[in-house]
Amino acid sequence: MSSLRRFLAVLLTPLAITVLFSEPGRAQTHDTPVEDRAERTLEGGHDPAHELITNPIQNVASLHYNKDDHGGTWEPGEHKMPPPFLGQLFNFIAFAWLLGRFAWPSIRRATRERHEEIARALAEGSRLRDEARARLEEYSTKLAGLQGEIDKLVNGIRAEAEAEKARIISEAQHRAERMRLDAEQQIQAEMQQVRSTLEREAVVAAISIAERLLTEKTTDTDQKALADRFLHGLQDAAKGRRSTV
Amino acid sequence: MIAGSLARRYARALLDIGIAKGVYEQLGKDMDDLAALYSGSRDLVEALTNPVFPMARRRAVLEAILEKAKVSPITRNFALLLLDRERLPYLPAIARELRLMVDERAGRVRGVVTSARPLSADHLAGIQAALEKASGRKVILEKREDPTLLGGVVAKIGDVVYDGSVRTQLETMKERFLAG
Repeated sequence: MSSLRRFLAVLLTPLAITVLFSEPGRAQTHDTPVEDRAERTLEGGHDPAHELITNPIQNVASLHYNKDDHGGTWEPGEHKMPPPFLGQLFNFIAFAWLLGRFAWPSIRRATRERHEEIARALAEGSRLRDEARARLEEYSTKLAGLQGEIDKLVNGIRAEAEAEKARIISEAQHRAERMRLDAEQQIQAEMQQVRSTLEREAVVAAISIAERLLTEKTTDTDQKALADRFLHGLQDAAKGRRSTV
Repeated sequence: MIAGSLARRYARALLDIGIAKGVYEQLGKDMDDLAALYSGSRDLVEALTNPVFPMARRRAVLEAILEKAKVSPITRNFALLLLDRERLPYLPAIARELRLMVDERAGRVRGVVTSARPLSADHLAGIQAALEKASGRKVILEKREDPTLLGGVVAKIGDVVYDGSVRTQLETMKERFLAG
């Protein structure tokens, strides 16, 4: 199919080119003034340019190149024979063959490489796009999960912070309570100690005063009374009774 | 404790000799006099116990003292025995133990009555009688005065103390107050 298409292209392309560009006769015809061509038309003649246009291939294989239609010397105003179509076709085919023989492989290889490169680029682009899309989805999923994870972590941290706060407050309260109790106990102990010290000092002072008073005020009569009392107590003890001695 | 035990052993031995000879009261008195003489002179203690002096010299000194003290031959020999055995420093303790043993043997007990001011003879006699009645033995009282008692009397017989001093009453009152 490809070969057929290539063959038709080789054949039809020169024809098409010929149809498009083989109008040398018309160019020559245009050299004739418009008034002359109109005059000829009015006289019942026909316009040679119109005839040339209807047959685009004016020279198939004639060798009367650059001559008039009959092979004579071309004169100005006459139709000038173009180069033979077959020659041009041959040239073109030769050109096409040379092109196909030497340039086409390179062109085709370059085209194929380019095609493959573009295909690879497209595939790579598609792969990258898919990859990017997958990554986007992955990131989106992760982001969604991450947000959840962040929320969970934040909630956990907040809960731990609240628990730590409660623990610290509770510990501080217990510590304060202990300090208060210790302070109260210490105050009570110090007060007790001060009270004991004061009592002791008061007792010692009272006893000291009593000693001084007894030393100063005791008389022989007092001593005699004390000796009598001691003697009575001793006598009671000797009798086996309870003694005050 | 060792000194006490040693003094008791010597005192017991001397008492046994005295009992056997029937002179333990005299031995007790001689030992009291000798102990008082020995303890009353520091120079005598030095002369009799310092090993710097020869034993013969010390023995001569002790014999001279014993001669002047007119102690019994048993007491004399006992003192020389203590000197020979370097036991003279225990003489006061031995005399004390012997006195206790002699008193015990004779049914006596020694006591001390202490007062802030001198006691009358009636009080002393009453106290002695009461103590003899309480102890069941004859009491030999030693009188002492101690103004720090503030007032009252303290009597001591052996290990028993009868304390009627104002000082002790004040101390008791003080302890009671402090005890709350």
